[in-house]
Amino acid sequence: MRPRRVLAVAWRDLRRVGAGRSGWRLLLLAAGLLGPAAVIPVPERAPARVAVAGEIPEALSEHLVPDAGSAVRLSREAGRLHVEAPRIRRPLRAALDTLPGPTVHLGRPHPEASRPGSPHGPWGGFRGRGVFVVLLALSLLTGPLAEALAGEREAGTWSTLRVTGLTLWEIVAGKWLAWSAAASVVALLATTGGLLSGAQPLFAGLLALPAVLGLAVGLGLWLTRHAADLVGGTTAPMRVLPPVAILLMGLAWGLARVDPALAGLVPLGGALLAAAGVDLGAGGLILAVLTSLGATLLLLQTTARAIERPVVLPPGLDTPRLLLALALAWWVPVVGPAAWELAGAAEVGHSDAAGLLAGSALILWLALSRDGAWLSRPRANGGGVASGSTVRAVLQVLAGAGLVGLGLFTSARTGLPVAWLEPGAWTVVLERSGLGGPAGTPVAGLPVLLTVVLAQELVFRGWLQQRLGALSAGAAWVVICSVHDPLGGLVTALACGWLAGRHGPLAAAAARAAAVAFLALAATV
Amino acid sequence: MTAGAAPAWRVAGRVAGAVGASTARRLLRQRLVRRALVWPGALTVGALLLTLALAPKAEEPVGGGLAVAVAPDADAALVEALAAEGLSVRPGEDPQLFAQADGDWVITDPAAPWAGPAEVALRRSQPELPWTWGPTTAAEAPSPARRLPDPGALLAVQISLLYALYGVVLGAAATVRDRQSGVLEAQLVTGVPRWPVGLGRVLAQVLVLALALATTLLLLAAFLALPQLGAWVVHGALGTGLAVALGSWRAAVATREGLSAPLSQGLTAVTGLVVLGFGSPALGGWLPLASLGALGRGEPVAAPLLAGLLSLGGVALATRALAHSRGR
Repeated sequence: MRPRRVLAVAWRDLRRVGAGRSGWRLLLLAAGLLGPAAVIPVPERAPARVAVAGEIPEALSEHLVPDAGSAVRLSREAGRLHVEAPRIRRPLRAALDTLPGPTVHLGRPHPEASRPGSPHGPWGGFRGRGVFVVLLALSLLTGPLAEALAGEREAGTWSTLRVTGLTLWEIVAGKWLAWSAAASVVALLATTGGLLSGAQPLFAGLLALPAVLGLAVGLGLWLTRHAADLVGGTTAPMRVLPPVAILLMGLAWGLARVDPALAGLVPLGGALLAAAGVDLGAGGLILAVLTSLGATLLLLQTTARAIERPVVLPPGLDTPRLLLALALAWWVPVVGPAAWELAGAAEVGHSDAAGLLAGSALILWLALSRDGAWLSRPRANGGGVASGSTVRAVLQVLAGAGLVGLGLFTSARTGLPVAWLEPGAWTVVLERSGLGGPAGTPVAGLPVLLTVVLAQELVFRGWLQQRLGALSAGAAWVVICSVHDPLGGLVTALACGWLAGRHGPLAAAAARAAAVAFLALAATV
Repeated sequence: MTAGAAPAWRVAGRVAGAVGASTARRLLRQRLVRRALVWPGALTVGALLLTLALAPKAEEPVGGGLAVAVAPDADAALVEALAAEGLSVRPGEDPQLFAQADGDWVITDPAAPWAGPAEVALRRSQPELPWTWGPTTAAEAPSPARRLPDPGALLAVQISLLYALYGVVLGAAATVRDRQSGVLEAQLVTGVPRWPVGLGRVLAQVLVLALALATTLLLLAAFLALPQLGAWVVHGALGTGLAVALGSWRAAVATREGLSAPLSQGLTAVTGLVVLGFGSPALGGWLPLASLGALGRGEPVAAPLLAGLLSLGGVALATRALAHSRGR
């Protein structure tokens, strides 16, 4: 690697993105955002006073306010203060613990907990301002990161760069240098402002700031290594960088509670924690910077290697995987929430209607993203103009509705739907999702069920029937969507498949919707 | 208009429809864009399902009685009080409830199911502790000043903010991309009215994003209670509309600038508006994007009339700017 060439690439990148007035605007925006974020002191918020019923002791009058309707009730019992409350929340506990005498600590205190900035203290010395400055600096990088590789490809200047004799490694390193240096300078200027104004305390962890930003830029370049244009290049860092940073910081935080130095083993997370003011010790800080630098180098190397490698797109989904994807898209939102009951948290509110609508939307998205062309074709099987008149078509739809209704009714009478499944949370949801018969078809939920019918028919009788044929698509629908009612499902699939073949999926949807609505009304009456 | 020619509004409608359809198809064809649209929902549901899978394992066995380890020399009054609370006491080397040398007591795992009963027993049995606690089943009235936002609403505001940021990104990046590649210029010189071209581009992006956001919000509501789901969907759509318009407008008027400055300005404006709504729900409830922040605080928002008008204004501004956009 030739350092002068790397510097030349970096300088070119800075000038290219900062050309014209935009350079000033970006700089002004960065200063306008980061300056106040770093400099303005956060006013201390007075702790909230807790409302309690009963007599408030003089010693606690600063912290508590009387409220006869409060669930927290104070009284005197054998010379001691007695608290009746569903639970002792943090503000109330803090107030009560101001009473003289020994106290009860929740959580095992670490020998080093009293050391300033120790991760074993209640907040571990964590200062949100450092992380805020880093996140702001990162958010300003979204555009430059997209322009660094995807923008070059888009503008056709990537080829020009390649014929200059620069190696891929030099190009990538130059681009990384440009934006990690720019972000570091802006962040350090903001931090200096904070130090001068007194809003930002001085601590060694601030030295980790450039390592955080450098790794973030490296990750951003890696994420956009194959992005062909600006749109793709901007979405990737935006969606991936924040969760990765939060996840790694959480991991480092967990390790820091065991031993501060261990947090340094987590690239990005350890350095971010140090920059946020958590004292990892000298060893932990050095380790955090080194692991972040190592990860940066690895990412840059991988980017340089992969950047010109042809992108091998995964082959389209074959039929079994497609059916599996459809099943997941349908059942995860429909049955997934029942897992709250299995987890012993049945009180967590969720909506079955929302689950059904989400499942319907997801299978439609799946079909659309695979092939949107089927929506523009009026006929499911592409077979010419419908034979016969409109009257005949309407009669056929009505006949289909009758068949579907008869199938569902017969199946419900035999007690087949759901009965063969083990009772439990899953069965309840299956019943609720039930388009399988009058028992599971509440009138109030009819709009939701009709939406579900429309989505299922468009996907299974429209898109899938075009790909697999009526019988296979029908069988897939029975297995995926009507597993709780095989008999009713089979009749529905045959009738709707026949109708869709003649008049398109909307006719099938109309027939099925009519049958379901009629059965729901009849069951209610 | 010559005899037999289609009326101007119909031509405009067809142009906007055709440009919109091609813009939407182009968006959905891009793998990175598809991944971006799926990502928030997949991340949310994945995290919730993982929590559901791990939560029961993390709990201590209930039903067979809760056990708590105390120091071998724990005093008899404490042991008796613990037993009275239904806890089985296990003397051991690694106690979960013990006294420190300074007289303070420690409960090692406050989140454990035994911790509450153990604290009750401890306070009852140790007269030197200044206060005792008797748990009740009375419902706690949330303090209006310190009411915590609903977890579903907090997640929804983050998801909506992410989609709004996507709106700025798609609006700005697609405009800069198509201006650099000449696609925008080609669309504007075909002899058809220019404003429907801009309108079709903006509306297609809004439609794709709003539908993806609605699906993700439904998915969230399926797993967690999400009050005001209808308002979330409507205000989310209006918010993404304004965000796309902001991104497109900034990129279209900044013809001598690249992507970075307009993008940063748009992202900052969108984030600022949502934060404004979160901080001041009474004001934010009336404005697009800010209303998402207000909803995130669990506040009822105003009818989306003003927010809708402002979003429409933004779309009109972006349409005009795109129609008069020139090459770099």
